[in-house]
Amino acid sequence: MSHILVAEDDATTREMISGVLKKNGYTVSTAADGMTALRTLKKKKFDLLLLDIWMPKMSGLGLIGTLHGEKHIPKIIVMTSDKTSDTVLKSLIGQVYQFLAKPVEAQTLLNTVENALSMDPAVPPIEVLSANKHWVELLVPCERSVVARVQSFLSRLETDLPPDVLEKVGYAFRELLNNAIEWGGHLDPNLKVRISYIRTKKLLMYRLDDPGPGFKMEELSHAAVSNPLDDPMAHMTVREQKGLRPGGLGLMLTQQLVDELVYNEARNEVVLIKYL
Amino acid sequence: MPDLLEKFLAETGFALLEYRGNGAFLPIAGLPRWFQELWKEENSATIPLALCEKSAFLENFLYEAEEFWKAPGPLGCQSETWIEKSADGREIPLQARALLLNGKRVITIFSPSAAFREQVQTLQTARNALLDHERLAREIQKKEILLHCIVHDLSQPLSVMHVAMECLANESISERSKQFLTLGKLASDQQETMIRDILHTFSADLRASLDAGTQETSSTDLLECAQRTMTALGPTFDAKGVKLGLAAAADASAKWPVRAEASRLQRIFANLLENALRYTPSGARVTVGVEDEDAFLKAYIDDDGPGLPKDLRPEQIFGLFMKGKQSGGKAGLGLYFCRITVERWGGSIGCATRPGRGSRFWFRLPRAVSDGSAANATEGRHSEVAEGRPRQPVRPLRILFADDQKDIRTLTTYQLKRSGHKVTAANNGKEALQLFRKGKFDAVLLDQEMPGMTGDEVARAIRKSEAGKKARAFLVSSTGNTGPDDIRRLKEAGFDTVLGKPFRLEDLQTLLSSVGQAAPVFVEAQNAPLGGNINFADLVARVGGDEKLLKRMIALFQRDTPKRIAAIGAALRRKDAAGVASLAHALKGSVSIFGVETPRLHAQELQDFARAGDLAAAEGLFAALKEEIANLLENLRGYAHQTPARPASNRPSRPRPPRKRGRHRR
Repeated sequence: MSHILVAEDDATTREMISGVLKKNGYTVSTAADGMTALRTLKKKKFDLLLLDIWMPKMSGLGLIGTLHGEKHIPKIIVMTSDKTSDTVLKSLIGQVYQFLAKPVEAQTLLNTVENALSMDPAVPPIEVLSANKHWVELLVPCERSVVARVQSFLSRLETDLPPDVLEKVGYAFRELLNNAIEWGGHLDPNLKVRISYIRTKKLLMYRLDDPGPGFKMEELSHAAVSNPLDDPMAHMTVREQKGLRPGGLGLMLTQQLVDELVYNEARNEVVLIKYL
Repeated sequence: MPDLLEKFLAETGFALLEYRGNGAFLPIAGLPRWFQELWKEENSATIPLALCEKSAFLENFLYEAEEFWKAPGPLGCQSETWIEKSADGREIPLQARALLLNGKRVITIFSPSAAFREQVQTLQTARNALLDHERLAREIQKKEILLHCIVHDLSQPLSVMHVAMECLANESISERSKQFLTLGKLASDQQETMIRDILHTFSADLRASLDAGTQETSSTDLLECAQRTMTALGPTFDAKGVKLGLAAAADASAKWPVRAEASRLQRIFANLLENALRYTPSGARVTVGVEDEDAFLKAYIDDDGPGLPKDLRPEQIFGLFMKGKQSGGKAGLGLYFCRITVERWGGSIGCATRPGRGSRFWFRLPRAVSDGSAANATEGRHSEVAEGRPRQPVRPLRILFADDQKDIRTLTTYQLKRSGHKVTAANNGKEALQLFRKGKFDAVLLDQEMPGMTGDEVARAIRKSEAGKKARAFLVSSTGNTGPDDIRRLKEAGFDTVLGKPFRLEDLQTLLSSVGQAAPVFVEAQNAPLGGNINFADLVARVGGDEKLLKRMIALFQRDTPKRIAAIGAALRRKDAAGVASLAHALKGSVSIFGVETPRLHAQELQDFARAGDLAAAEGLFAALKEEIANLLENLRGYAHQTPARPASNRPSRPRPPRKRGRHRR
């Protein structure tokens, strides 16, 4: 059975997380501060570390830094309620698996933990090419769970955008990343999508560069964006015939959610811009 | 004889050929002109022609022909029409036929030029017509959708204006402001009616059921409607300095029953009066009168304006999008709707220039058999601003209200709460359903057009979840589409009643006052979820349904929190901003688990203030936070004591000890 360490200084939260995990059959150890967590990790092998950031004696980030370069590092899920770019960037560099928003709910917790533990070890990690608060650049494997993971990081970077705008941009980005991984990378974890997040004074920009050969608009009969005017649902029929998941509204919605959406000629690179 | 044959063939355009085998043909007689043009063959009766080399179709047809020659049947052997192209590009239609004459294998080829062309043309015309028809049908469909979109979008902000003005009317405002408000309400009323009429008119047109709609024509008093409208428009006329009065001949004591619907009749008057006002100079007079014409009653509006434009016929004036050159900017729908409505009620409408000066607009409606209901029917909705104080409802209700439009939500919630109801607002259908499942509600008001889950879908789900239960919520749909079909559909979905959108608060109040007395009487103490502002059912779900775990968490929270509060106090006293920030952060973390929003937000703010070094602000906030935390702890204690660990579903039926009054405060 998987062995999980919960490092959290607040007793109530710690009790909740370990309680929920134990009830679902995981073996759980707990630590109330960073130092204790570090000692526990040195004594025993853990599959997963659920890590709070603000802890006495040694913060979560401090612990991540100390673990860097160790032989066996468990998968790390950072739990935080704060939005600080610093935490996000350091977590990215420290190979944190995913962010989990606080307050944590049982179902979300279990889903995230299960995803993290069940991930094929052959899937390569997210590579960090740049972790600067104005320029984050990642190389991510074409694998379904990576979308939620990347978004758990990027959505926590400070942007000063109102929540509804942020949600829209987040949605647009998720759609594009899904497309890149699904259509560009054919869900092959050995292929990579390069994601750049660039934040300047006046704009927020995402660039996605997928490993596929690109596509032609005419080939997109399975997407709502190419529906004829008088038949706004034509793509649904196409999707049904092709046995695709329902949806395909991504590109069309994305076009409407952001200020600019530009493709290169081959259409395997896309830039999404939101002006601030 | 041969001469006659030659002539016949030349005249009718037949080529008569004998088949000699191997694709070679010998002309039996002279070849027609088309044949010579097409195949450039000399008119020779001795040299066989290799026609199969020239026409692939003919070559194919030969197979059939040879079958026929071997075993001639009664049906003969005729080819379909095919087309050969001549050297100069002309298309020549041809038909061939195989015959066995005197043992000779004969083929005739015939060019059915004229008949064929006609046939093609007919086909072409038919196809064009079909295409045109399809294009038009699509166009009409597009326009229909567009119209509905526009009208729907127009009525949305209107709802907000309505409710906003109603809210305003309930504030204490000066007489003057009240007058302005009345004007504003009147205008928005008119716009609302217009939008509704557009929808009605067009949907009626579409359904091709423009018969004299009998179901909506009850008996209405013509003069009373005129007077109501005159009162409502009084301020407008005063403002322009135009006198508005009733004709001396109009007998106000008599009854003037017509077959019409009151609010629309008033709008007809309002349209005609406004029209008169536009053309009447200041200081002049507008007179309203009624006349008895036996089977019909007639109303007229006389103005002192310049009279009707000479270049316009009366029927043009009542047409669509017609408006006077010097008039104020209106869309020109007003008179059109007057005509449509009056004609639908079986009446007629017209106008004329009066001898002397000015013009008269009139309409007549069928007299109704007076049944004394006129007074009721004219209970118009052009309400004057109600008195400043909110009316006390008969019975406070627990109302769930879902509308995706934020402004409407805010204003309606405010109004309903002011009237003493307990209101829970939802942003969309899904949320409404979730809230409904968690709480107890006497009435549910659902907007129809919501993203994700529409009103009728929510209603169906609610009715489904009520199956087998005693309590039944009163479901109200608010929708912009109130055609008979729409209403039937909504009632089928489980709604008790339908409220046209934008709706008037009074209408809603009236509907709500009819909520069945059998429903459980609402009392504050029962309604509040156990523990005041904590939703425990939700909380149990959030920890994965484990009540024991929740209790352990509560115990820890009760142990740690007072220490944290004390520590924050101490840190504030020694001006340790970093300490306050860190402690507030920790407090926020544990408070957030219990799903209580206010203390969590305050802890967050406390953390922010402390980080920014603003300890004075932090101190002010801390006082409030302390009290909220005390409340939270109290509520949690209540929960931990009262409930033995049992499945969550049993919980609500358990008796609860009385709560301490003093503590129950938000």
